[in-house]
Amino acid sequence: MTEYVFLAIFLPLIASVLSLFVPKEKGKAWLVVVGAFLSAVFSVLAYAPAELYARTYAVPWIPQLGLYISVHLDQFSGVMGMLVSWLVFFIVLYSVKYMEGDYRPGWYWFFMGFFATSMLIITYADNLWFLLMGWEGVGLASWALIGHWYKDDEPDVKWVGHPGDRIALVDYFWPPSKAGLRAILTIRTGDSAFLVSLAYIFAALGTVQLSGLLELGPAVSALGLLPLFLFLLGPLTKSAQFPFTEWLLTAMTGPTSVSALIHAATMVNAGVYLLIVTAPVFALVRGAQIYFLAVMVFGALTAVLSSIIALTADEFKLVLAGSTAANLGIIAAAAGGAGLLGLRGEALLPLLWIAFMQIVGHAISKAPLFMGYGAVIHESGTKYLGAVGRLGRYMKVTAFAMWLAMLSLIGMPPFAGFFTKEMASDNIALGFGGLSGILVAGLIAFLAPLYGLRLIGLSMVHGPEPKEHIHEAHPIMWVPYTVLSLATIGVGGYLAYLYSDKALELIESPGFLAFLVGLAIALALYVFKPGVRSRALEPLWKIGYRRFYLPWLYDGLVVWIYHNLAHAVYWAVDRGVFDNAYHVALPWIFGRLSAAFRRLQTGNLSWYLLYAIAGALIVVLLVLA
Amino acid sequence: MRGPELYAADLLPMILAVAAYAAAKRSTQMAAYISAVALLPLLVESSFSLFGGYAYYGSMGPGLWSVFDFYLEPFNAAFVFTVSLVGIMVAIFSAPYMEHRAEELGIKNTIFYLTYGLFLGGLAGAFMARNLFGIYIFIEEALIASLFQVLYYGYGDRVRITVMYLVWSHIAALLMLAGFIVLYLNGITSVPIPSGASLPASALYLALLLILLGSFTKMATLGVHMWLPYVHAEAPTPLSALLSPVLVGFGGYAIAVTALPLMPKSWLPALTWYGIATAIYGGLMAYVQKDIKRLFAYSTVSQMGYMVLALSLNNVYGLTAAALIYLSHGLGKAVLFMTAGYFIMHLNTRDIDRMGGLYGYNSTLAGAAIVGFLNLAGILTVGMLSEITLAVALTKAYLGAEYIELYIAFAAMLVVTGVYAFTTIKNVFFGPPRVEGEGPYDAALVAIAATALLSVLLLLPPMSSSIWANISAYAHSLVRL
Amino acid sequence: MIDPVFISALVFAALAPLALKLDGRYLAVAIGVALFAMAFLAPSAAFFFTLLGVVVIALALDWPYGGMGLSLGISAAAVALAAYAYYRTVAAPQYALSYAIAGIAALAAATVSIYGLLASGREKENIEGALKYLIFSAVGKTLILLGFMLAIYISPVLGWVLMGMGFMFELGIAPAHLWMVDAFALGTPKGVATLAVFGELTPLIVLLTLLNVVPAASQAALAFLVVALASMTFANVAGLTARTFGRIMAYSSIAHMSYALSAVMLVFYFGNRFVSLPLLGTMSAFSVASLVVLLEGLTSGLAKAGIFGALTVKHADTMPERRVLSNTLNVLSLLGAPPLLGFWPKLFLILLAISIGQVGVAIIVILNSVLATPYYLRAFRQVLEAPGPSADNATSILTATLSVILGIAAPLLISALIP
Repeated sequence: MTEYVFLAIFLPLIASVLSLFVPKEKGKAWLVVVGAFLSAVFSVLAYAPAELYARTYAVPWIPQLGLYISVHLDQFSGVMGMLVSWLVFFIVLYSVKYMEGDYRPGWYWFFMGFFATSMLIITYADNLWFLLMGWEGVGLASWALIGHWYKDDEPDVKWVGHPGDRIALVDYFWPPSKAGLRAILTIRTGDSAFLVSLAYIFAALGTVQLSGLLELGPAVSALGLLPLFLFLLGPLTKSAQFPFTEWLLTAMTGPTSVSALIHAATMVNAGVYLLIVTAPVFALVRGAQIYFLAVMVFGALTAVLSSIIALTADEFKLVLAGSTAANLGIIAAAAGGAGLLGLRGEALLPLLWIAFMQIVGHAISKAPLFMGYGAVIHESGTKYLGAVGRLGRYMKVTAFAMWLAMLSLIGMPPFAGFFTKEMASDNIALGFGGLSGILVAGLIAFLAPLYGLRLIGLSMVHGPEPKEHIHEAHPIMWVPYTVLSLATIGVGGYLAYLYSDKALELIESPGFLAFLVGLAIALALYVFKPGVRSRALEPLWKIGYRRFYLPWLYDGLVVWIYHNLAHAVYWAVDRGVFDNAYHVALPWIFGRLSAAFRRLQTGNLSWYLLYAIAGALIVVLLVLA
Repeated sequence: MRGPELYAADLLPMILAVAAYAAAKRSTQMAAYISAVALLPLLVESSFSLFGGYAYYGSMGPGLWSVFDFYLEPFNAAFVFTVSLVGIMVAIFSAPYMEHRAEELGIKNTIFYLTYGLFLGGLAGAFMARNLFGIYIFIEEALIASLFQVLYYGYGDRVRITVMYLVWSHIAALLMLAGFIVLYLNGITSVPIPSGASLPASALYLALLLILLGSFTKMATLGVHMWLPYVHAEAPTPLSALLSPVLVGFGGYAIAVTALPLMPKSWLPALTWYGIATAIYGGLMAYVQKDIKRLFAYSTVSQMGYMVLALSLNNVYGLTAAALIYLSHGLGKAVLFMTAGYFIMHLNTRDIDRMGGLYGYNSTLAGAAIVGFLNLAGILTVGMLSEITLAVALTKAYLGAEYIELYIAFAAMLVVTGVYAFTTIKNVFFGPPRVEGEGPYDAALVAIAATALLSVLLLLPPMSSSIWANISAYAHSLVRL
Repeated sequence: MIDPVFISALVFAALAPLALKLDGRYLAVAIGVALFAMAFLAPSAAFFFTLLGVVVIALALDWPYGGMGLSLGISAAAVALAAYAYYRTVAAPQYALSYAIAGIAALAAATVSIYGLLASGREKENIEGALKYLIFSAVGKTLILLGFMLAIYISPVLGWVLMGMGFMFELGIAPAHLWMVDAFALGTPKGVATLAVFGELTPLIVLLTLLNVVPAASQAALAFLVVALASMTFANVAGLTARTFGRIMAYSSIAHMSYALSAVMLVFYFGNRFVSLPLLGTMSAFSVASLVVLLEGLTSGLAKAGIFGALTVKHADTMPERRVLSNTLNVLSLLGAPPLLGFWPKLFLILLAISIGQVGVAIIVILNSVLATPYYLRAFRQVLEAPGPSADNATSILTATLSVILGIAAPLLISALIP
């Protein structure tokens, strides 16, 4: 089965490298699609339900550095692998039509395949260095595809924010090239710390094999908290946890297929996935509860704040991106909660499995939503929520799929989202414990239906009549997302079968109650009685709409400081001190000295002799001295 | 005489330089290809050593002839390999570029190709020389050969720049020489210095200070970097593509083989911080630049900071990282300078403000240049290998929560590199297209793309496995116990 | 004992009237060939005889000399004689005194011939420059002779004070250097070429000869060491802003002579002893210093002969008017770029200073060679940027080749130079 894993991992990359040499766009596209499909098939063949890290395979790469090409096959990586590879397949299939006729197909198709392989490396890797290769790979692919529309054209479709919008001297709109830069730099920041942490682990323990670390057992405990927190910065930035959420929101400048795949279903999940699969190892470290608490707090904070952003955003994709960040927060918090509960003596793996299931639940709901709204933007030519509405009449299939996916996303029974989300909420509630746990979980559950139905309501049900005639999307586009949205029911059914004993418990939980309240309000506000507005809430709305002014901090203050610091150092130190000292002062001194020396050369012989005699006298003095 | 193949490989570029000189009178292309072919034996031999783990030794005779003793072990083979590989690529690149430049200046390319082989032969010789004086002799030869190129084919106020280059490089070389002499008089005559060799303290400190100061000036680390941005910006671009990656890194090699095995351990932390400071400073300054060649020059300063950091860690990982940084920076920076040369050739500009959206101008070029930047930033190219090795070296040398400030500084260094790398990519290749038309596919582009591709391939096993294993096996002897 | 070499010298003198009949250059060639041939008579100085023979032939090929050809020949013969005397002094110390006198005589002969060559352009400037050389050189020789006698018969200290001053005049050590700049700037190029190669080499060899006869007193040696170090720094700083060929090379000469002087004075101040040098092995410090002196003289002389040999104008203070690329190598040799000839004396000087324990002196020498780079680069550019097309002349090609070959084959050269 090992060969199957390696085939599953590397086939997309091979296809995408080959695609560089295929001249026609169609050829590139189908080549990558075939690669992705084969990869998906092999990922199923490689699936092996087993204990965590139970089956590992390693090929040495640089053994002295602890670098092995090694994979582990277990329940987590098996499911994650299938999820990733099938989503990749559906989304690349969708983008055959979606990206048709777009510029630089070579770039797009190469990075799609490249991304798939990188992501599958993260999924299966047992060796953290090998994982880092994939980790950097997904970061790079994300950067490349966010900035895919490098020309920064068509601001109404391809940018995030309203062109020309400014707040206190800082631009509040993001063309693709700028969004790409924000993404990669945020990720780089986390990755730098992440790299140090991996090196630390290797230096301290002599291995970076996850299975090896787990085998070390208590010896890991000496690691201390520092590497854990350095490590945490990697997943926090990659999974867009607060306060690094910003890059994910502006990442929506990428083509919608990219947003669906990378910035909703897979890459951003890499961070939380890593948090989950490393939790059993890190739980062995002394003081790990602080680490897990941090993970949980960051996650919960992200979940709440990003939900508010989703609720106030006025772009289709921004709403979805905010919701992605919120769900990533839920997963992280659930993982942190699982870790904490595990330290208190409960069985860790089942709890982590719950957090993991939310990745699956979220991915299969979010991917179709993105693809569907991609079709909407494609057809209507606008990205703004409220610019076009009543689409349910014109895009019936799409609207149906969107409804299904959205209900699953917000956690409506009996969709998949209901089970995964409610169980994750339980993790969070128990992790925090007591009233605060109930409040946090409740708040998160309450906000989800609000932003979810707001999006659906204002675009599919109500809103302004479209000005032009709108068609249903091409089948190559709608088939993938409809299939996926139907899968939410299928998976929901499967989960209902699995957890039938717990279903009642879930419905009775306070989280579900909060959800019902939220759902009721949302139905009222956005579906049945649209148009209710409150002046009193406007300042609050504005804070959310301005995304807590974080862009002002990142694009304004941080950039201003870096830019001006660099310039100040350049002019003051580099030009001012070094250049002047070496290239002005030094030559000047020698030039003056030299000129003075040469002035002795008068041409007058008697002076010459005089100098010579003076020299002779000096010699005499020196001898006598 | 032992090891004639080493001498043959090193002398061939110098001898064929004359043929290239003659050929350049008629055809620049012919001269360029002669220059490239002349480096092949060197590439082959260094590859044998680097990938195969072989060691070669050469000697011309006893006594004063021992000045010309050569050695080629995987550690220095990594440097020689980079020199010859980049040399070949740049030679191919230079065919269209120098034709363009010579036309612009109204002169012939004869001097360029005469000095090209001498420069690279000298440089490779400096890395292969065993005798301390031999090292000095070869590095000066390389310096003087490259001087002609700046003087004849440079940009801007090239006479002033040439003086600057000559003076500072000469100072650097002489300081090193002075340090070598002190070592020599204390019985240390050749490299690699056996670890455990010891000197009287005063002589040791003097020698180390001289060698470090000389090497730092050569590497243009913080405080003595003043000459590099000017020289590398104004040199003819093929030369910049050689100076920046392969010549300045010589300082790092010199520290590794002559200073490090003798250095008192108490000096190392200061050196570590100095390396990080240089890397961050260079990265910040690179961010400010508007002239793309100056930007790359400051980026070289930054990368040399990485190298100093790697060396200061004084373990096998650090030394291996230093050799790998030389390799990855060499390939990456060569790609970038050649890209700048492509712009100069076809767009007649070095000003980043006049670039933008150049992806559409030539996508192959853009892809290659991005790979070049990834080498510097340490992402998925051979640069990543050096970055990982460096991080391991750092944590092996300084392990524990008490070194948190060092870890933060190290991470900041990586971020600063990322900032200028990706900002430049955005400013140059992305954004609304500012240039019409399409960049031509010429020999220059082939060289750029091939270099970029190689820098990716070298990351993959089995290449990287054997490189790492061989270098580290020989780096053991350089570590101060 | 009457030495066959002296007899040959007398024969040359007797040939003088021929100069009136024959074009001088043939005469010079003849003398060159004769010198060449005499290498077989005097195996100890064979290297110098061969070298000088070749150089004089090359110089003779480059210019018509008229009656001055004999001067050229004589000056070359004088150096050969001085070199011969030096090697004989070392080999046969019992005759040292008479050989030393012969050396001084050779110096006098060289001075007169070079004066003639410097002034041969017959312009006012030429004669002025030549005259300054003659006057300073005459004073120098007087002091040397006087000092030599004093040193032998009365007091070595006093004698060496005078002799040292004499050599300051003769070699153009600052502050008695001013004549050198004018002579280089105002003399005819061929005169300057001979001045550089023969006029500087002769006093250096004589200096070594005299040191072999009467070791320098240590007090005097200290004084001249200080003067030499100051002088090299002075020359290199002054050279920084010198613009024309003649002046740049004059300052370069002052610096080279100062390096040479400092080497021997270093040894005599700190005491001659055996030192163990890298590359050379164990030998007496004085031998190393002698090596430095001879190599400095050869470097400076050969390179400058080549550089001025390429000029075809009336006086040397000018930009080169044609491009002679081989001279770039000569300039680099002057700069001390390895592995050219000029690298070795500097290296040995630094090695010598450090092995004696004088790191300070080594540092001064290193700083000086750094200081000198900009003006050598200027000269270098002037050579390169002279109007094309490339031209070549015998002297330049010969000296450039010698700079390279002697530099690379330094191991062989050194064994030839050490007596």
